[in-house]
Amino acid sequence: MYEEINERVTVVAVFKNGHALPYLFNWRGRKYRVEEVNLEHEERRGDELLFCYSISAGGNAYELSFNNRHLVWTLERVWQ
Amino acid sequence: MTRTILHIDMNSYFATVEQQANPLLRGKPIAVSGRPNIQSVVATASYEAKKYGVKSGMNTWEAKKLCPFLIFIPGDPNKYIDITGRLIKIFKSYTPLVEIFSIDEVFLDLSHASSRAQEIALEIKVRIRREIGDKMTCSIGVASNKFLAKLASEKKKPDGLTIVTPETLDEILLSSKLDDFCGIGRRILARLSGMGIYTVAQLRKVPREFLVAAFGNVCGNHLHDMAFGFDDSPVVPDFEADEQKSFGHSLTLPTETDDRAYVEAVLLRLAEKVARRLRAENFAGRLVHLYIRFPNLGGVGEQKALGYYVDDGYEIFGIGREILNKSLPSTDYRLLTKIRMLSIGVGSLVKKDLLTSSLLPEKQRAEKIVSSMDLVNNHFGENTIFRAAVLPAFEREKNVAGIRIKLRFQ
Repeated sequence: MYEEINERVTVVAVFKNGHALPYLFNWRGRKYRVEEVNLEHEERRGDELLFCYSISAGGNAYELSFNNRHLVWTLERVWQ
Repeated sequence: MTRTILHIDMNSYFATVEQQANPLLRGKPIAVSGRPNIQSVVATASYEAKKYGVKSGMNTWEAKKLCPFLIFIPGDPNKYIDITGRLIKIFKSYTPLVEIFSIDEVFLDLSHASSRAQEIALEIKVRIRREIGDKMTCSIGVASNKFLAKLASEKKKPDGLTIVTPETLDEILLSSKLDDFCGIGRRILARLSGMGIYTVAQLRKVPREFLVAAFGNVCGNHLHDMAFGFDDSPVVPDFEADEQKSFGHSLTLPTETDDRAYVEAVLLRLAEKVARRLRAENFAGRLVHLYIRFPNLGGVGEQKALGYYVDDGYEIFGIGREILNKSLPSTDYRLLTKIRMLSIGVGSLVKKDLLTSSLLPEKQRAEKIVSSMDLVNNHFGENTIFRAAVLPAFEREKNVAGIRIKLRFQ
């Protein structure tokens, strides 16, 4: 089932060669290990740039976004 | 130098992107559309859904009837546009002559590397999988012109590669249906059928002069050329494309409607989008055109030339509404005919720097409001601030295929 979440989450990410990759995230008190980054895309909202990651974790699919201006990670949506 | 053109068609593009993003959707019949469980239109169907007869443009209820297990995914245009940008970067690493035909189709002119065309086509497929995602596939046609390259790319889906050589030309052309040809739509097909022409072989036998007499100079010659696989149209890269001649937006409504208030709200929404693009590109125009399509696919369109230039959505809407009232009789609440699609555009453009500012205080005030709204939307994102009259359109637009709007600060 698809659900829009739009909640800030804590993320452990690897930053390498100008590229960020989420590794772990904590949502509603539970830790999720990123098993696979399936797709990456960038999205502009106003004058802010978001780096979006469609990922697999624990048998579900999630979309995380990273706002590089405010250094904020958001869980955008989930498929369970 | 031998002309060598590649046509690349991303297979079931929006649906494949969603299946790439979400492994839970892979191997399943999915349709990219509006919000789930609400009537909308299918923008793209996955190959698994196509097996059940689900097609682009179909109503969601019709699609669900054909495929009861169909999964509807809300479209995410920003994602598709970004992925297309990354695909184009891959294509441009082989040639600067890349014509963007649509969000999921391009032509590449590889005449400088004809002998390597097949190798490049295969390499492009590998790079798309490696750099975008391993589920992303495309069908590629390689030929001596755009028409044949496009026809060839349609021959094998998904993940096809079809090369048209002088030896295979006739086989490819004669095995095609007339409506496989890019440019032969429903109307031309019906006219050809009315003349007893049902196959490419039959079209070949019709003298060029006869087709010109029946279809006019441009279309008649084009039909004759297509029957033999001729096409000398160039690949037009974006840096050579003609300057923008008009700006327009259209919307296929989720359901046919005669609700006048809703139609006007949609018209205002479209006019605002047109105006926003005009202002972003520093243009104003003085020709407003409106087109309305009815459920039976017939339609009416009219345009109005103004004595002044406009770039304000509300002004464009006002002119559009005038045309609407003239073209389509209505009561205060109902149009006398239901409509299915609405489009509005502005042409006869001029760069705004060449225009003098209005001295009328009310006009100056309106300009200030619009430019302040632009500043807010540029900073915080599209539709952060908008005219309240657009709200009814937004409410239903959230359900329309391919469009997802975040109403912020609700």
